[in-house]
Amino acid sequence: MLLAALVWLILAWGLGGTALSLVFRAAVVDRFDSKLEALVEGLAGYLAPGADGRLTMMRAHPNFGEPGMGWYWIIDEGSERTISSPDTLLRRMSLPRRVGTEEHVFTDHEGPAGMPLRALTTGVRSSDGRDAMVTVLLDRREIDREVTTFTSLLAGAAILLGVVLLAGILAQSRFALAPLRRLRGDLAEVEAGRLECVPENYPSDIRPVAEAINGVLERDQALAAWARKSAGNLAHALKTELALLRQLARELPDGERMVESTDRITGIVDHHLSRATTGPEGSKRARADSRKVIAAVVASLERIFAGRTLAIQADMSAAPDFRGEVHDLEEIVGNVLENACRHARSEVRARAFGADGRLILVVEDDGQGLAPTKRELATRRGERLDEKGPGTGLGLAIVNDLVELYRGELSLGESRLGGLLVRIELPAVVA
Amino acid sequence: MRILICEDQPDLRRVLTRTLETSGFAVDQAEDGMEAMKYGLAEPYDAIVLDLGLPQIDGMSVLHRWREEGCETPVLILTARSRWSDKLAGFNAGADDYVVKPFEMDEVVLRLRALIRRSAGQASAVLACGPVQLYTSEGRVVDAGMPVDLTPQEFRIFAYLMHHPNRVISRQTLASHVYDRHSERESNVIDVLISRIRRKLSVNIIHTVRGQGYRLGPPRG
Repeated sequence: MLLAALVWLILAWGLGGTALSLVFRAAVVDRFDSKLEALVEGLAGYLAPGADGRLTMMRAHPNFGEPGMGWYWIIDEGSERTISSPDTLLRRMSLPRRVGTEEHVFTDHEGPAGMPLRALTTGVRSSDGRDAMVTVLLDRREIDREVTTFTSLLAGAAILLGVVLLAGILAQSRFALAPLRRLRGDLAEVEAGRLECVPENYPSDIRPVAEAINGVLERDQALAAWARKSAGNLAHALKTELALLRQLARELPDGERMVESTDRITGIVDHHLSRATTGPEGSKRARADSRKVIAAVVASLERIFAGRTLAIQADMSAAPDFRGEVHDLEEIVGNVLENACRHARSEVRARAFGADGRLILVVEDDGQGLAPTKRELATRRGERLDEKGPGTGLGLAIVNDLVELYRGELSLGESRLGGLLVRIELPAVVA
Repeated sequence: MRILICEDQPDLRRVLTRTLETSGFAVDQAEDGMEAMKYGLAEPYDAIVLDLGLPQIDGMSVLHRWREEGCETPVLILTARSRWSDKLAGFNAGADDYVVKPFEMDEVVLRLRALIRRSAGQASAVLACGPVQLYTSEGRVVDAGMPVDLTPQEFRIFAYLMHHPNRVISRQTLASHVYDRHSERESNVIDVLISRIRRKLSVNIIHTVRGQGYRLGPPRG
């Protein structure tokens, strides 16, 4: 914006200065010509025959006789030319011919020693009734001096004006752009998850922009929610039919293959449902209270596994908030802890804490654990390392997908309790 | 023991009903949210199987309403919604257990039995009174180490009494936990069933409380 203003100012200065300079020069030339006319009229009154019979000036301004002054007169009687100066250059000078008494002809010439001269030629009639042409020549550099002086003054004034104008534009732009800078800051807050939407308490010029941004954000969220709900409805309808098919297959003498097939289809549906309904909802602004999520999951698991003697301990007092969607954290924590509960003998431990701007979740159990060679398989879709119990073997695969989606890390190791240790790093909200 | 199944898919509802009846439960069925809401509030079920995707009123709203109205019947959510956000919402609404479709029917039966046992305040999976034991997970009765062969109706009455020992249970209460909505309840059938159970046991642990009903307790003398 400042650059555009600068270009515009330079252009305006150039054009305006040139126009002013030209107008001033025209005025100076006009005044100079008036001076020539006054001199010609003054001289015409003193035109009379001299001693040699040729017309001459009986009286004239003393400057006409001063060498180097650049003041000259020439009386042209056709064949004869009488001149105020003996300079031969003036005798050979080409001047207008046959100029009437009412006519004024201005011409420019080069005079003695290269001096630029401006001439006015007009027709006159002497006191004895003879017609002649009188030409007055003056040093034209007077015009250039005046124009140069004016142009210098003009340039100085223009530079001063330009500096003042630029300072004004700078100050005004800072003032006028302040709401836009605030809007940029608010958008950064939305992006960082500290604001749900852009505040709309802006000046009237900017408020519609803030409202439009919020409209786009809301539409974006609504579309994502609708798409997720549709995918969910489709998956749930399919899974209900699959549940029936599975039960019917169980009753068939050779239905085991059908049961396996329905389980595989269910796995595929779960996988794609998980991909369609998880992940950041279009922006990074979401955050989730990890302590609350872990506590809710533990409480639910205590109900689900109420029939077993299972101690679930969770230490999440130092856990920062998760930078992401709450349902994704529920999915991650729920699947990891449920997996641990399913395989534990009697104890599951969960710890959540912050480190280097990340949320770290460590879940351990006292079950059989996993051999190092099988750990990678456990995070693949559809791999069931334990064929006992319900499920489609998707738990850790879903967790792995989600962790990757949030650019986190998942690693499996051996717990001091004897079972599996799952360590997950996720983006955290830095206080 | 009496169960309400709330499931809109008719074939799946039938399969569930058949399996649960075979496992010794009296079963009522609701095919939409309105029916589920009405039956759940009106009848004294021992447990409810609730699908979340019910027509008219969704299962989650039905569950909320039951809990608001003071219905404390244990609820097992049986749904295709496998996401943890749905599970947490279900537990938050007052569910006691959550099973995801497709499921193993045996698992549903096991979980229902565990739910009923826990809701009666029984921590152990094996309930005992004198030499008689009820294995709640398997649904079988053993007397002095020998299996006792009970009919489904006899089993329901005996199981209910074993879940609520040392409490006087009226005939009406027993009837409401033995029969489904469509069964005809004859006035003396409970007395007849109790007599049959007594005859099948080596000791009398079901005591008559005159004018009030029955109480299960250790054998006298």
